[in-house]
Amino acid sequence: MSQSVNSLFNFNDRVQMSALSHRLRRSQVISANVANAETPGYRALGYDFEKQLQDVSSQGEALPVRTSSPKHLQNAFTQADGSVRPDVYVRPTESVAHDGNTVDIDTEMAQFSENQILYRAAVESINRKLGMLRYAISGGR
Amino acid sequence: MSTFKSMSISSSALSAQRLRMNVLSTNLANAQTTRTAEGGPYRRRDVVFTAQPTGNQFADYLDGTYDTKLAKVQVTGIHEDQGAPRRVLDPSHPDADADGYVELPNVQVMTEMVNMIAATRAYEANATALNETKQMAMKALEIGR
Repeated sequence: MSQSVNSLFNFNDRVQMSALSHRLRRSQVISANVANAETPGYRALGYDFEKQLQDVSSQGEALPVRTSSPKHLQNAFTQADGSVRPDVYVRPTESVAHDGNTVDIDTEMAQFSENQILYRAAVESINRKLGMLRYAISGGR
Repeated sequence: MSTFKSMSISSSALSAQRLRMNVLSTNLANAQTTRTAEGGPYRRRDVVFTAQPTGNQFADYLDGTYDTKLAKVQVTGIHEDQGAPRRVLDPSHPDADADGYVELPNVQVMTEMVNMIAATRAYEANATALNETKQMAMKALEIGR
C-alpha cells in the first residue's frame, strides 16, 4: 500500500481523460464545418489528435513533464494532456465546389457520429475505472 | 466551455438557415407581385452567408484552445437579384405597358423550392449536430455516477 494517489489512475486512464477534451474540441470543429456548409469560400477545418495522443501513450510513463522551475509539481496527470496540443487546420480536399466551399456534409455527419461514439466509449471506460475504485473503497461490498 | 461553443456555432447556423427560409418564402409569396415601394415588379432576394470567427473567451486562452479558425455563420446581407423581370403578354393587366406586356418578378418558383429543400436539409444537419453535442455533454455528466 505504498502507492500514491496519483498512481490510482494509470497512464492509460489519463489518456482516456484527455481524449474527452480533444473529442469535445473536435465536435466544435465539425459543428463549425456543418454550420458553414453553405458559406461560399469556406474551407473545411480538421482536428487530428489521435496520432499525437498515441505517440505520447506509447512513450508511457517515461515522458517527463517540462517544467521551468524545480519547484514545479511533477504531476503525471498533466503529461497526457499537456503535451498534446494539435492545431485546428484547414483540411486539404480535392473536391472544391463551384463556390469554393470544401465541406462534405456526409463526411462531417459521419465524423460527428464516430466522434460521439468514441466519446461515449471514453466516458464508459472512465466510469468503469471509477467503479472499480469505488468497489475497492467500499471493501468489495 | 467548449460544449457551449459548438452549440453556439450550430445555433448560429440554425438561425441563418431560418432567415434564409424567410427570404425564400418572401420570394414565393411575391412571385406575382408587380408593384413594390421602390417601383416596378418585385425582385427575388437571396441571403449572403459569411463565416464569422467565434470570439475567444478568457477560458479559451487559459486552456490553450483559442484560435481564429473556428467560425460561426452569419447572414451579412440580403441582396436583390438584378436579373431582368419576366415579360408576359397580358394586356388586361393594370400594369401592362403600351405593348400589352406585364413585367413580372424574376422569381423562378422551381429554384425557390429547390433552395427551400436545401435550407431544410442544412437546418436538419445543424439540428443533428446540436443534438450530438448535447448528448456528449449529457454523457459527460454521467462520469463518476
